[in-house]
Amino acid sequence: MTARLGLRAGPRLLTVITTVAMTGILAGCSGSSTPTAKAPPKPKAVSGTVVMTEPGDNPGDIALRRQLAAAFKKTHPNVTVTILVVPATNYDQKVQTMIAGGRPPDIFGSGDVQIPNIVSKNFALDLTPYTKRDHYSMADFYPQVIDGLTYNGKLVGLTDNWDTQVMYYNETLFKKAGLAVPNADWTWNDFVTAAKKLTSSTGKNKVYGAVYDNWFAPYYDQMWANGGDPFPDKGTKCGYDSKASVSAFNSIVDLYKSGVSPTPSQFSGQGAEQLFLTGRVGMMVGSGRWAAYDLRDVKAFDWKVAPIPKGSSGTRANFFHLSMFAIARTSKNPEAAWEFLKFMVSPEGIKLGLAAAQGIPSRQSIAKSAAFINDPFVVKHNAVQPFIESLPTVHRAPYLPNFNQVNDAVDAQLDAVWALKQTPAQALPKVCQKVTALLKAGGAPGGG
Amino acid sequence: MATVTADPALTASLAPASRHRRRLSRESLAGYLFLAPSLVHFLIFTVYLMLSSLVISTWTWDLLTPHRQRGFYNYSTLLFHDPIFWTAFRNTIVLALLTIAPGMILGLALALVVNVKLRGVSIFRAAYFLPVVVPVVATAIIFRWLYNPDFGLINWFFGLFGVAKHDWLGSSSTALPSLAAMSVWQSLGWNMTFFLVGLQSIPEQLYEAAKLDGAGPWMRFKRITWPLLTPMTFFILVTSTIANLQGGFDNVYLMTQGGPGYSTYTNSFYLYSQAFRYFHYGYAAAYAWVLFIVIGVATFLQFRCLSKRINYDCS
Repeated sequence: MTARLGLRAGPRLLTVITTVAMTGILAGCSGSSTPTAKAPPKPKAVSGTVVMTEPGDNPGDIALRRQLAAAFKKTHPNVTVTILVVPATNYDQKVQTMIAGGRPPDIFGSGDVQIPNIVSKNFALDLTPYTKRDHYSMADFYPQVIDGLTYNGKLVGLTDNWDTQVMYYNETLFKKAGLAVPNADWTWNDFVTAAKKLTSSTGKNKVYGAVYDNWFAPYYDQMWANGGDPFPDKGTKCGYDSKASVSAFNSIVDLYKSGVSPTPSQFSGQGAEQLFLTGRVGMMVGSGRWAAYDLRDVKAFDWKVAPIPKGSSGTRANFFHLSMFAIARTSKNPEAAWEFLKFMVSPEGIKLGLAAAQGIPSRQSIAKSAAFINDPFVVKHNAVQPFIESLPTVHRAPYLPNFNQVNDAVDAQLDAVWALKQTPAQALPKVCQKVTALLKAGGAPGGG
Repeated sequence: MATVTADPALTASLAPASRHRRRLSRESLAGYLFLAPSLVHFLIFTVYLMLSSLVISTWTWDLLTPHRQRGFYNYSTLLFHDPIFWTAFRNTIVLALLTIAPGMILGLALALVVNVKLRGVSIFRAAYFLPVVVPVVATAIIFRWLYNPDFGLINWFFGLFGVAKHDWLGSSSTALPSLAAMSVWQSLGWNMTFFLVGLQSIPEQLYEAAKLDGAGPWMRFKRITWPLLTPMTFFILVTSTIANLQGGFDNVYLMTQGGPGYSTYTNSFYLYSQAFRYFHYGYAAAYAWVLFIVIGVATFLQFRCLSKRINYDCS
């Protein structure tokens, strides 16, 4: 499954070194015609070829996609699905070029923060007419997944999985300190108190209570959970300078200042997950379910998953990592693409990828199945329940068609905060000064 | 200095003019035919694309939705309304200055050192050249560890003298010089090799004659080595100026991503971001043209001001 396909632009340095696919994909059209309100009549049989692009950074995903194509061929002998592996670092660029060149992939993957760009440029085929025409039931999908992929009443894609931000904790360290382990009711205060108690020693034996990653997903979470919003009014305003946002950032910076979490400059070289792997960190905030697979081979200590703590507003907020498969609006074979898309997100299709699944299956019937829940790995690390508990409080990526540019501008101002050279109260108004112009249509240099 | 004198035999062979012209045209046809493959390639993949990018630079275009013709809008935005452009520009120049001069001085010094007739000296030459062929990604990983504030060798070394730990890449005052140090290391072997070629083309008898006249090592360097190296020095200067004004992309991309703040944004990094991360192709094309003109002017000035001071001949 493609839990990582969306966006995992972690600490910006590390992401590049590991060449994790930074962005999702863009795809679209060269015309400006209005989207089809009605699907064409259902053809009696589909045939021809379907080209699907797949980023080349996850061999498991590529193998799964090929397996799905082969399985699909058995029921649809007249359709050939070609998986086009594209270098992950140039993925969106390549897909855009294909579309601009008039040879779009029929199906492409994308995810969370990149979806607004696709929506704003109308690249993706609106699937709603197709689901209506075929009486395609979406009842089995988690409603949040369908909501998350619906913009202005149009369904832009479907997915086989979803993911959200959770907390990982070192159970061995908690037991050693005689502390109660985190649970779904934890507030920020519980988190900080435990982190302080776990922090001990100095020098080579230093133990940190927590590591709080400093990329946008965890700090959005903290802003939302404190009653703030990074980009209110559907992405047209900057909310970084609000009182709630400043207090959210203060709460994070306090972790660094008090030494219960290593500072970003201390963990940026290796990454929060690597630090957690050393066994010298009590809790890690800043990852979705993909981290469970990075921690798979840990033998030196026991670790488990828990929901992230609730904020000062009394509720939890967790970024929704939502990948999707979309059909290019200019696809020459949308009917066959639609058939293959349905197959990929069908119960059979999702089951094929279950062993390597990094996210939670998008279909409840499979996410609740014994095969998934009773998997020894899942049981040992409690790697499903905290996600389900966090599902009601997921927050979709802000609606920013030029997310990359906005986020770069934010990052440039936040660096001083993460380096502890400026307080949030000093730096966050500057974020809004720089970003507000970019949020207006055509306000960004180059995009006007 | 080289002089061109009319060769009587050559002049005779060129007359009469009419016969010469006919022969020349047949010859030139053959010449153009031989050139054709690369000429066609050049016209399509360089000239045509450059002209296209000139047209695109007047558009607002994301590749996917229809473009809008905007005239000089991109250029005026870039030059007058985009402070990041000027930051990137300044950083690029600073990075170039911090890279070129030390890279050339150290490269020359290394070349002088390995320009000795000694058994096994080629091993040293190869070793110093190694950074040039090491993939940038590997170099970046090594340097990120060297600069690491907690475990890096550099901080460890300064720690021996009681100097406090410093976050080299993480603070805006040292990030750019740190990148420069890395690219000096990368370019050292390259510069050394060219200087070495230059050194080895200097006839030995000049030094022998100078020694007989009683010239010491410094005098020999000043009066023989340095003047006769000027073509190579000029070549390295021009090529590394071009490379530095264009470049620094790999290092910035792999080491700092432009941060902290905008302190390591360079032209190439910001141009890349505008084109391939923000999908502002028209704007990026305008940016590339501005950069092209700047590099062109810089190269022209170097030729204009320095080429008279170059000794192309040692006779």
